[in-house]
Amino acid sequence: MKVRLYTNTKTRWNENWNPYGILETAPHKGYKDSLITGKPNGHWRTASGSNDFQQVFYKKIGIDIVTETAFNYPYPSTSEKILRPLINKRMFLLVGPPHTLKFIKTKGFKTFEPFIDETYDTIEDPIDRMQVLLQEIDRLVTLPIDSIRKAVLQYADALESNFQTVMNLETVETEKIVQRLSNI
Amino acid sequence: MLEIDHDFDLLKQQLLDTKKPIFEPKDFYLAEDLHGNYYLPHCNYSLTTFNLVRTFQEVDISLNRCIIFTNQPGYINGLKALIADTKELPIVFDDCWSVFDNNCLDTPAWQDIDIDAHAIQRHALTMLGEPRVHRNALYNHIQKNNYFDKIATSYRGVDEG
Repeated sequence: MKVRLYTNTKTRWNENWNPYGILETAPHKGYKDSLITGKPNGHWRTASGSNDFQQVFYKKIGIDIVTETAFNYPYPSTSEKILRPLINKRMFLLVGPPHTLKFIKTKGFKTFEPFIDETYDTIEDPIDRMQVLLQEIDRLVTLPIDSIRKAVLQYADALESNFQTVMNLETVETEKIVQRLSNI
Repeated sequence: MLEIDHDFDLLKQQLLDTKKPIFEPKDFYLAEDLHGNYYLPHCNYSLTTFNLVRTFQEVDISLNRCIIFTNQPGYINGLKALIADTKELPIVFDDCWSVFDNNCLDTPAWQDIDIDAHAIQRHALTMLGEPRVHRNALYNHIQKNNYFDKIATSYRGVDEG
């Protein structure tokens, strides 16, 4: 009797959230803006030099539109991708599972309302959530670039706080795990 | 979990090799599940979770001998849907963000940069890695509206990291 289920990794089941083509989701060939320089950073445990390059071009942007690995998923999910704007002191939108912003706030991170409308985080339907995200992107990119610069300064305390929180994140999480394990 | 995701017989063999007639109270199998793939519609567990549970059951080892580390708060609910007896549930650490896999922070390598708003040239940045439906939707939207001068974009694994 077969007791396990496998599927083709190219056809992930949770990718099938736009079956009627309400949104345009056809893939395209690769693209890279000239502003984005350096080699892919790969994993975080690489030699220290390879981690520095992103900080060069992060200085040149106001908001990181982070696309997490999962989008249509029943639980919040965080990876190294959302760590980047936290480390680089930039605002962000999170194209990921619902309630993920709520989760990262429990870790002590600050987000950017009211400058960024973050109601998308509460929308569980993936198509509705994506449409609201795209509308918010439309609004933000039509603002004068000076508005983005002013917002970055306006949220400077939050950005500094996020940097300190992310620097302590591994220690805090490790201590919490060790404490829980010692009670088992 | 990623290493055995394609073939849970690898896990089955590991479990058979290490199975004890009676486990000590502090004997545990440790697993990390940081990859939310294969979510079945209307199910709150992934196929990875399903296969993990089935493999433990197949070799007759209680899941309560397992500690799972994940970055998915609420992950235990999927296990509850698969394991009726709450005494058989594994221990789950469901808010592990930075301490496993490729999320580990190489903290000393990161510079504490100044916030220099004058250096900002573009409204936004998006680094879209491997094609997924949500990334394709965003890329298509950027392309359709010609936002490339507003949003610095990379797509399909180009410098996505």
